[in-house]
Amino acid sequence: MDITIKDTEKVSPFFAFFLIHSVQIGVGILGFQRVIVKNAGYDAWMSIILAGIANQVILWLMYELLKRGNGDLISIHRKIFGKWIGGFLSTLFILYVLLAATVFLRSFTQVVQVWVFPQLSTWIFCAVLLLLACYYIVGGFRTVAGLCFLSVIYSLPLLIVLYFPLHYAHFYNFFPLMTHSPMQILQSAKATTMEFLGVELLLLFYPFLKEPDKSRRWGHYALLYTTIFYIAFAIVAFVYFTEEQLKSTIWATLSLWKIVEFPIVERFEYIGIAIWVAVVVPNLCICLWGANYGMKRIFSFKRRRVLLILALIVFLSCSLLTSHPHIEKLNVVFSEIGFYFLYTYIPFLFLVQLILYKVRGQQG
Amino acid sequence: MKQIKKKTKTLSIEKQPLNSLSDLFNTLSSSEDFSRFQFDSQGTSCWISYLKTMVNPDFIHQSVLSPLSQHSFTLLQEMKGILPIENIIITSNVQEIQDSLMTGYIFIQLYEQDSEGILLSGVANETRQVSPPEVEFSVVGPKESFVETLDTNINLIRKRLPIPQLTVKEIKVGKLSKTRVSILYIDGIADQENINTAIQRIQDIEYDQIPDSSFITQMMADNSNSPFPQVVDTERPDRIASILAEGKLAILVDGSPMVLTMPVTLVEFFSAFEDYFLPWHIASIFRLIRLGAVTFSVTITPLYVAVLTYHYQMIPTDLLATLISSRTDIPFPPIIEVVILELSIELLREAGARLPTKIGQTIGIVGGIVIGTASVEAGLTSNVLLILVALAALASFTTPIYQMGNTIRLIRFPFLFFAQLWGIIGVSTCFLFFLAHLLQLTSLGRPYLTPVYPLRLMDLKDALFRLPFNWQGKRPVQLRTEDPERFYSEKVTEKKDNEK
Repeated sequence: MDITIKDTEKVSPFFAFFLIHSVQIGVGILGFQRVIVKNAGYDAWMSIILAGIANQVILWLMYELLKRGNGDLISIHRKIFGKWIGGFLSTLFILYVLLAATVFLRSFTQVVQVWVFPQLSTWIFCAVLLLLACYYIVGGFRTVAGLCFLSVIYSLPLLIVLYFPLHYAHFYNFFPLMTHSPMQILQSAKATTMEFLGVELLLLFYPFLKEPDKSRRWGHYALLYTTIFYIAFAIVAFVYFTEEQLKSTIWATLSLWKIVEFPIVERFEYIGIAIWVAVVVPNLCICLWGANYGMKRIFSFKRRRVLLILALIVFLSCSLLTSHPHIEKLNVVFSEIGFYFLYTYIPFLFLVQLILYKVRGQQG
Repeated sequence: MKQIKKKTKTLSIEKQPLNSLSDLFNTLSSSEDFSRFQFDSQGTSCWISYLKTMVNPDFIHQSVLSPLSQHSFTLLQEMKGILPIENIIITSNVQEIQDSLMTGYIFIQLYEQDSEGILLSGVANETRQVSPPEVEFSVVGPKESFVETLDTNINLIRKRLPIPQLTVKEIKVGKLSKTRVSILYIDGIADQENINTAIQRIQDIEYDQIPDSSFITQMMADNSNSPFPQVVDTERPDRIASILAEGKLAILVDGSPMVLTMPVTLVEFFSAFEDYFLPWHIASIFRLIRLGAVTFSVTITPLYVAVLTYHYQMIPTDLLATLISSRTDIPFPPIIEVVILELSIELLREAGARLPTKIGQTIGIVGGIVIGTASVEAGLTSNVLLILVALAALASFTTPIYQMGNTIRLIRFPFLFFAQLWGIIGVSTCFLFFLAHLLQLTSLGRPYLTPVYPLRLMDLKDALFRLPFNWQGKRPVQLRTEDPERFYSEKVTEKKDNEK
């Protein structure tokens, strides 16, 4: 089953940059420093670079996979595994994407609850943000892409305010270099991959890019930019906090924003979180859009009705997650699944497809 | 799918069509201003019918009656030769005769019972003089503005674009009013798809009476439920001429001094035509100030509510003292305070708009100064808020296009609601809701947020900034013009002064 997508739904190849970058940047960046410092300490910046490189490789694999399959993950699954098994695998992937949406939304709600409104009820906040996401999705892929593009621009000021903590920087924190074993650095790199999750959504929106193969370059730039983003946030946190402090600071980035001071504004983290709404909603939009589109592709459902059901699923699972340990656990589960999906399933799929096409090519 | 019941309804004016001339004259003779008489001269006679109120009396005397009395005639063709008027029609079509009579034509028959006669135009045009623009006034630049007459308006545009490619397409809209609506575009520049869409949308309008172009605006909008106008209406002929040269369409409606242009983008509503009369850097700064003012106007009171209700920690200590001292005696929470003040500003604006100019000014002074000061002294509002609300109102009036100004004034209320709900996070959420709407909005099928999204780097030359004219060599990509080049950009850069 091949797909045809109207030209009016497609976006230029360079939007791959904004789509991939904005789906990768999410709640994680508000507090990833603690996770990566756990194993590699101040050497963790090398872990980010390692994770970035590994991600570039995976992205390359995905592009090869998609180019050969000429479609999205669902049609690739169908071509390789047939209708039933392929459909089952695709459904699993859609569930994973829904899980991603839940994790993003619930984690952000928790940030808001901890930092701004302790009394905020989870369900109403999730409901409004989901409604917002649905509004974008109903507008079509172009609207979602537009949101991603604008949110990347909108969140740029947050990079600039990283300058403020540098007044109190201790650059000697980094030295001596390599105090940790390569194993520890690798462990940190694995933890970092959680922050890079989201890139797999490319498997769904690939056919929505005009001349999709030309977007390759932009995809790699996006990963590079994301890596730089993370390194910047990590380095500023490393030079500002001591290692012990970092290990007990859940949201190091938010703590960094706290010290930003302007003549008319203090406590910048409130503004930061407000701007972050515009970063989390694109995450949610792409995931929900992907799940919606995927469901339509697998089961040929009506799009809008499924969207409502999917939003309801995310809404219910967010509302049911009440305590911090549960959310933390879901985060861990999600990142484990994501890690194995990206670093074992994608290469596996790539190889299977390669072999299959070789064999079929010889037969034909 | 809902079953649509097919009802064949006929409107009352369609029910009794006037099939014959005698029917028509019978219907008309019940009006006092209908005149029909026999005119005798030199042995020949004819019957003349017209509406006295629609026809210029001097014209009848000088151009119709006096030539007819000096010559004799037996045929309509002969009569046509006698009358010193161009564009005489000989017809027996009742519908045509009816339409013409109603718009100020004179109908002449040889005999009372003849079905054929000649039609000639003697329209008495009661028109206003072309006057300086009032809504979009500019200190420099042309001081002409459109009037209510369609032909005068087209004349004002044609004077500025004397080329045969400037095309005028006319459509009659309205069952009762039969309003003439003209679509102007430059053939070979404007996109054919845009033209077709606009023509089709105007033809599809189903309404009885069109008093003004704003009716057309609302009826042909892409999304008529949007608070954002999707058509720029302007009273400046110079603006329309340059918009046509850019490749857009202009829609003129008889009886309306506002001309519509489509397709448009959001930023166009914040560009005054004066921006092109000033040096580019100065104009760009003014445009940025305007955009900043609009952002300020929409967000400042929601931010006040958000910060004072939830995030007072955000205010630096020195400023906090000022705010607290101004608010110590206020018995209301910030949201009530803000809503009261914002509504009273709306009240002032509305009262000022409904009253004659002179009284309106007094209302402004009474409302602005007296009520404002008194409410602060009475301890009902804080003076900091009074300053903010007044500034926000002032800022919202910088919008050059009136329709957008109204939008800007009203969209702050959803922001206020969200600010009360979730503080600064609510403001951000509300902004995203509006963004979702704007991203989906189109004007004549072209995206509303260009050149920002979809990103058209080339079109940014005249969006947030107004770059110099020699950078404006390309027409906006968004319009998909048939001829993207405005002039030879290479020739601009040549400096001919030094080649002596």
